[in-house]
Amino acid sequence: MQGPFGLFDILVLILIRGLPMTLALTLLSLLVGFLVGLLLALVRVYAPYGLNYIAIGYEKIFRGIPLLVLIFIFGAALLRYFIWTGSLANALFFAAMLSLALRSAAYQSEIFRGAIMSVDAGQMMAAKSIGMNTFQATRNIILPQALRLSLPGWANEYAVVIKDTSLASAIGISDLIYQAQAFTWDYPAQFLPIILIVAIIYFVFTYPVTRYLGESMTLKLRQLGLGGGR
Amino acid sequence: MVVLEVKDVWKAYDTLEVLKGISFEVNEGEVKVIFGPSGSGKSTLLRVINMLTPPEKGEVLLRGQSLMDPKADLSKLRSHIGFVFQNFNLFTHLKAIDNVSIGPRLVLGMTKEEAEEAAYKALEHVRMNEWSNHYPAELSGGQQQRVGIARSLAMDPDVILFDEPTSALDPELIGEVLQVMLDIAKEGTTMVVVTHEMGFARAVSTEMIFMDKGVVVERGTPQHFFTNPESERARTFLHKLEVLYGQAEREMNSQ
Amino acid sequence: MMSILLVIGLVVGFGVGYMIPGLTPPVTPPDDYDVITDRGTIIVGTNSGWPPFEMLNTTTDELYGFDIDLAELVADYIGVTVEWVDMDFDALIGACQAGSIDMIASATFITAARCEVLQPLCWYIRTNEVVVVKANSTLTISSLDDLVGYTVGAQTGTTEDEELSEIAGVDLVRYPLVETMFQDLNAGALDAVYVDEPIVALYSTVYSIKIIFTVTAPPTAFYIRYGSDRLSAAINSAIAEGFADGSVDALIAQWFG
Repeated sequence: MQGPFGLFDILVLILIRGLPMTLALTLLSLLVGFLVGLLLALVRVYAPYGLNYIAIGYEKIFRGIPLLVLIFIFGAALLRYFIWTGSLANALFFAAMLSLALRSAAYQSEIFRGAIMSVDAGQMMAAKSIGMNTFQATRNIILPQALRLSLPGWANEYAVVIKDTSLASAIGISDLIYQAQAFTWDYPAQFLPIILIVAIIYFVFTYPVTRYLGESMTLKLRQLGLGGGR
Repeated sequence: MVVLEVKDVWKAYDTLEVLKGISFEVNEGEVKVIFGPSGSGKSTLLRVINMLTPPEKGEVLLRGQSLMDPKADLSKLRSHIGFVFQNFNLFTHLKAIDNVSIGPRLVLGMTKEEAEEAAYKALEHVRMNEWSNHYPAELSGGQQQRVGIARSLAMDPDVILFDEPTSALDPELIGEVLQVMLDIAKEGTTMVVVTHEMGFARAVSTEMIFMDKGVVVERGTPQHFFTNPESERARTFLHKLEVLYGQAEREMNSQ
Repeated sequence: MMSILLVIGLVVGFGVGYMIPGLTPPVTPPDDYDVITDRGTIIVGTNSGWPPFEMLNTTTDELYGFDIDLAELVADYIGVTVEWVDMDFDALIGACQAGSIDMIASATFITAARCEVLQPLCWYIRTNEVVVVKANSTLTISSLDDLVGYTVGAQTGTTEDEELSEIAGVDLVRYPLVETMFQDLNAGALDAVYVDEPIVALYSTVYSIKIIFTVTAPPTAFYIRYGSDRLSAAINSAIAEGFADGSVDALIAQWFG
């Protein structure tokens, strides 16, 4: 079953075929997760008690279910509800993206909630004292600062999600892991080198982001006077 | 022309009563200085006037409109009351010019250009116009506080409340802030200032109010307080301050 | 206090949600056969990486293999095309039941447990299950029970997994991936592995292994949901035709050598 490719060609092909899918899945899931997570955080900080419990319930559920189970639920059991996306491949992608996004939202909401609460109380007081209502104050004063404070935590979430996208291969999403697996079946002798290189690829896409957003931004924020603590 | 009326205001935190029936009036152009030992409720009083904390009992009226009225547009009323904080509370993510222009833009409904113009004028007034593109973190305490004053000025308020504006500043920076406050006082701005700076009080205040343990103990002109205060508590307090300043003066004179 | 309310709320909510479908009037679901022919495609699920039944051709990035060809032959007969979904083996059964895929074509044996939930179609091939050890191993067995006391690997969810689980005393290690299983055999972490015969050919090109015991496996078939007699009839006649005119035998010869 030896094909025509050498090790280098294999790695290039894995990259070309799998990387776009991995990145697309990561970025879309993070984006949707961001929107839902921000909403949840705002509900938890500002909304009255009843709504608060819905948000907490959401978080508990989506942090308690293993991601693979979520992917099977949306991608295997509920797949036909996503047929409106146009094609089977789109439906599978949407299912995987939804699983990742909903789970990420649960964690992102904690990040944002912590950030919102760590914005100095005086900021809200100052905003109100020049006549802003809570909505204006939140949108223009609290959130911009909170979002900057969230960056390190958010960089961490990115690192988690990009690696979790590998689970999408379980429903046939043709990402890095799926392609790598396919090649190891065709070239079983190259199993070890292939998975080592895939590990390095994930590292290359994770480390610079966490380094830049996480550490450099934290430094910059401290210079601007935002964020405290060592 | 009465600008601000404080009527029998009571405020308690849990069981601790902080304000016990405070009443006074501020007329247009007046500068009221409120002073007294810590824990007397001075800062709380300012926050109640602004309705940042609601009082248990009592009423605050701005030009005849009650801030307690549930039908009142509190945000709108607040926009007519300026507030300068002890620890500045500048919006850290905005440059100085944006700090000052955001209120006029969002609350007063000015266009971006109008708001920036008003902001620049306010910054000129406090002599911070050259720093308009700097972030608060790049400014010294005194500079930040002046921007804070500009932020209130830009809203063209009916009265400005000052909550110990120089207490958090290094001594050499106090002067620049007091100078700005003196200038605007002389221009006729209606001000209510909580401070220990007796020099300022002596220079521009129309009336001084001495508070201790949540009540107004004595009121009077600066002359009244500095020549012959009536109450024992006021006398003791002023003496302590005099000792502080007097000693410094004596040391300066003997050199 | 609030947490008790939360729990009560959840229980009531779930309870009501569970009852509602039962209270709605019954609607006859459309026959799968009609759904598929109207749509023009049949959605078939498989788990690639199982030579020679289904594999991903890394040169062309397309699925190929015996099951692929056979399923497409069947679809041709019915008059539809195939849309393939490549899924984890464990998920295929649930996906078929839930309606996400219409048919499973993944070298699936016919077992009692599977027949309870899904309908097997006419079987098309019978392979062997074999016990494989390293070439230099001295282990010999005369029945599966002789594996008691040994560490044996099997792929998760396969019939080999089921069979070994029933023998008490066998140290069974489950692997989602076959390659890691063979790696461990080669490294000495496993004494033996129990797999389908066809993939031994592939791995013997990489490792020196030998077969020490053969069991005739249950027959292999496609699976669909229960409820559509027309669909099962159609697919079964497709396969029967295939045997009759020799095309299935030709495929067997092509893929199994």
